[in-house]
Amino acid sequence: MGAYILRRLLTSLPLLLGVTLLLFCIMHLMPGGPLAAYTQNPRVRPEDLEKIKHIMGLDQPLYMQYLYWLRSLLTGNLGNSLFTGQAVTEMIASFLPNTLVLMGTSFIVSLAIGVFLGVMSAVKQYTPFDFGVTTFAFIGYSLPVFWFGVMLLLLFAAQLKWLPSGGVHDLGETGLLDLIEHLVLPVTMLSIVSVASWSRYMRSSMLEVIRQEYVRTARAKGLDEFRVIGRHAFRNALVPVVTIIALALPGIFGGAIMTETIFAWPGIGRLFFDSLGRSDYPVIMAILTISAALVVVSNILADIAYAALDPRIRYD
Amino acid sequence: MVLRRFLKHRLAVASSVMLLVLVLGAIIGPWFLPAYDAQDLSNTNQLVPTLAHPLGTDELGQDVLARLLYAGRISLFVGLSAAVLGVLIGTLIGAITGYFGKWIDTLGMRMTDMFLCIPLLMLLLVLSNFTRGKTLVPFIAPELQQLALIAVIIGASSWMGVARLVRGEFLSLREQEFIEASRSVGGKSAWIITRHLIPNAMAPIFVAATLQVGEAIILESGLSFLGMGIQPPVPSWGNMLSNAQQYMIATPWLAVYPGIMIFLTVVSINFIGDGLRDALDPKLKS
Amino acid sequence: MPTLENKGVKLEGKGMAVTYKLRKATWHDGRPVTSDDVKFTWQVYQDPAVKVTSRDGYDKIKAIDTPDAQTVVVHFKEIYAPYLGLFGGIFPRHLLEADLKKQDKPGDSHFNQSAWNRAPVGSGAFKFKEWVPGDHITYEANPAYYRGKPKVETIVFKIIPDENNAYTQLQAGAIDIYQSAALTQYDQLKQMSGVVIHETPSLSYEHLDFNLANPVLADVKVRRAISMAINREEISAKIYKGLYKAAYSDQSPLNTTYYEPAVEKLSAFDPEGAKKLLDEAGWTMGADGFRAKDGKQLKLGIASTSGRKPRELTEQVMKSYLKAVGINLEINNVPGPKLFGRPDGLLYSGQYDLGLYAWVSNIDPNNIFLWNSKQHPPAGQNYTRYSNPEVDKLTEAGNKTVNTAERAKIYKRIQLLLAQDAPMMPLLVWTTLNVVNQRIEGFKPNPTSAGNLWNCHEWSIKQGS
Repeated sequence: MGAYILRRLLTSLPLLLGVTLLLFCIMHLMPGGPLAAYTQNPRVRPEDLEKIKHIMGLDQPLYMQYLYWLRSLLTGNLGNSLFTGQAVTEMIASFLPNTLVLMGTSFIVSLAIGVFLGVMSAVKQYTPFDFGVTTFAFIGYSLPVFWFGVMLLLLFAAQLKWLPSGGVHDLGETGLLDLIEHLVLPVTMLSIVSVASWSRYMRSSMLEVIRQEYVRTARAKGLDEFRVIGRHAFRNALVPVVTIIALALPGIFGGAIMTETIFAWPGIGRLFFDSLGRSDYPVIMAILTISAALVVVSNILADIAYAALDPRIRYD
Repeated sequence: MVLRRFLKHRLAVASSVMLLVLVLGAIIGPWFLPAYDAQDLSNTNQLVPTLAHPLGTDELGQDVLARLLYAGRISLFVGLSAAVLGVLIGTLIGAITGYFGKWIDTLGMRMTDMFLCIPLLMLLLVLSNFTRGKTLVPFIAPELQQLALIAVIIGASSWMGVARLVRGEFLSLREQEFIEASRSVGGKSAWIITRHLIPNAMAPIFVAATLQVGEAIILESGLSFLGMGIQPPVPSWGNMLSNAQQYMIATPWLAVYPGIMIFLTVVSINFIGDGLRDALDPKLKS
Repeated sequence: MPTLENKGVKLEGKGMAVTYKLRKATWHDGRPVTSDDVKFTWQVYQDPAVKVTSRDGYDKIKAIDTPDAQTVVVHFKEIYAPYLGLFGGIFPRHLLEADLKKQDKPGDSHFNQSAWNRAPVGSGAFKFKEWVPGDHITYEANPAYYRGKPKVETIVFKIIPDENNAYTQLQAGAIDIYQSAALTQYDQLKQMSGVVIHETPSLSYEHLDFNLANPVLADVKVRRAISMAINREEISAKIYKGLYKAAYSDQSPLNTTYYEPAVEKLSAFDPEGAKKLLDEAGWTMGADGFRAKDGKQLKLGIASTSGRKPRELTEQVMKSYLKAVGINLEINNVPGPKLFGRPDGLLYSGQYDLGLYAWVSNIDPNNIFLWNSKQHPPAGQNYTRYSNPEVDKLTEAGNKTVNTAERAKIYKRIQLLLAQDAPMMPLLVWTTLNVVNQRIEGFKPNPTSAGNLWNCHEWSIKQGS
């Protein structure tokens, strides 16, 4: 298994390299280019602009710039923000935990609810419950999430005032309860689509397994229904779903942009969007690179989980 | 046969009717309503429905219903063209990689992987930030430029799913006898692909294309919501929502309408896609 | 404040010397603030290895003398009338000198990356305690403050990117002061109980730039016609709820010494007058409702930064105003970098017809960088490409005149000339809304760069709340 993971990681490297090259080219075609933050200020003099260009190495040919960037990436240096002057690694380190809390909670919640709904509606196929879940899944899948978020904010924070409208904590508070209060709305918004789609996948995967021979055999042997479903069917039905779930991780990461903007959540998504507005090129580049790496890692995770769950697959 | 199976899917049929109403409303409606940009500064932010303004007016005294329907034209046009473009690119790449295999397949699939590595929304934001205000699409009137641009951006960023799908279909189809036969009598690759393979892979492509329209509509409205999509004064459901969000404390109801329109459109499209899947390919029924 | 009248400013040869007396104050680490820190600040601005936004004015300084710890004498190479705008903030030498000298790369000082930027040590009423990026910054009272110990113990700045969110947090009492509140929430804020709204006119103003390099706009009649066709008062009332007041000059009406009220009559709303001017200029009305000359439609583009709602609304209203007099206005908004960037930004490269954005005027009336013909890009910021020999002379004279009354005459004359030539149409003076919970006492907003915190040592929290 260890060798397999190592091999997967190594083969992913060229892919990541290709992605960074792709991103690098896109960034350098942006209006104003990487210097936009300075060129927008009419009081920065042309001679100073030239100097800044030189210091940042922007007077070098593009491929050299890419190599320089790659070299500093390998040494763990992602440059400095053009807006705050802070080291990008430091900035990301201070925003990332908030995003991880949001994403992690939303992931667990979606997983629990999505899988539960999927299994239940498969077991109770063609009952009103199944029909309800199916309808809900279609609704959730078709909802424009940002609108859903705005409506949540409008209803529960602005009108009913049940929940706080944004931020991670109230002023001066650090408690867990306070954090949970602040998590409810953004997590609901971020989870709705994944709950909807995962419950669908879980349902069809479960239906397929239930129809198979060994489940029927288990039932015929007189095992009670709960154990048949829990022991035999569930575990096997989960296998294909795990892949889909792992592949959905980057989507949650991207969804964080909307959620964090609407609920004033100080995370990576908002940092990305704000940096885009400020043309803060080193920060944008760093976040895109990290997301790409995240995708690659979740792909590998999907395969590992696949192997761990399905006894028929062995990676040696 | 296909039609009969489709008609059995009641939700899909109801959705088709709904979508038809929405599309006709968007196309015909604006002819009978005030122009979407007809301002009346003496009549701003009016909530109460009147005969002249069934959904009231917005902050410039413009008729909300007229804007909503006109925005429908924009959003449907962008969604449809983006999906068509995405499906075309995806089919092309999937067909080439799936048919030729070997290093072409490896190259194509690595490229697909690369695009899949960047979260879609981030890619779209970066692309639209950099192309905004540019004339990239030739032969199109200036006022339609931004629509075409957004459609191209979305299409160019969402072909990967279809590419994989088509490749998979091709891989299994090309080993089948009739393809072998066609090749042995000297059929050209392009001919085999367009005459044999694509028609046989049409059902899943068609279903995917339908679902892609819904997704593209959501993407367009999301981009516009974040201020990176369709620019005012041209209304789209997304920018109407983002506009309403600025006035959410004052006039919250303005935020409700565009969301409902997006939702109704997308949910209809998804049900239709589901119905099509059942009708075209009974094996896939879950 | 040192002026010519109180002998704080003395002329010496071609230049001048300004003497500042410093109050006795200490940095938050206990070290005294001295004249040497002022000198150090100038050195920072002059250091080519430091990335500073502007060296304007600091490059006019020949030398700085520090006869004692409390006295600074700044010697200017030439007369520099806007001297009061310099030294708005001072850097502590003992904390920053090492960073200034350290070079990360040759020619790139560590100053811009200094840890001080994220944990600044100042001399004000509150000292820095904590910064959680994107969330909040905490300051705590400085008992050694030279105007006395502040009454409030801590001030936390919450960073709230979304206006609806800020509103609900104010309503819930999660924040006490909502700075620069959204104008769109004005009516609801007025109805909110327990808060006081401070409406403060700002030094910023919205304006419409005309690109004089465009042959259509080179004609002063067309420019004046556009100015007369646009109803500022209605935009102010309908889009800005009467909060942003109509503007008529590039000088702030708050700056009573320099403001020329006569310009208000010169450019009032008059659509009939606008039509007459366009007729005179040879643009005749066509069947399509738009004017044309030599077979070409009178069509102009307007560019602004995309995503700013009130501005987008203003453009849409302008489109209807101009349509009423036969001008076809096309809205082409672009992201900030595309509008303001160099060298390919629309304003700098002159690829625009009309530009809508804001300028921040200063308490000092110096406007040479906007109107002098030597300041056309790439040299300066005269994006309208305006040239008028008389304005050239006046703007140059203004910077070399230290006598306030004489300076006022110069800038009033410039305002009248600008109103006649109309290279730019001033639209609206910004108003800042600051909404404060009733339990806070002593909040007095300040429109200058000193900001709302200028008297924060006097703020207090009402007893029993």
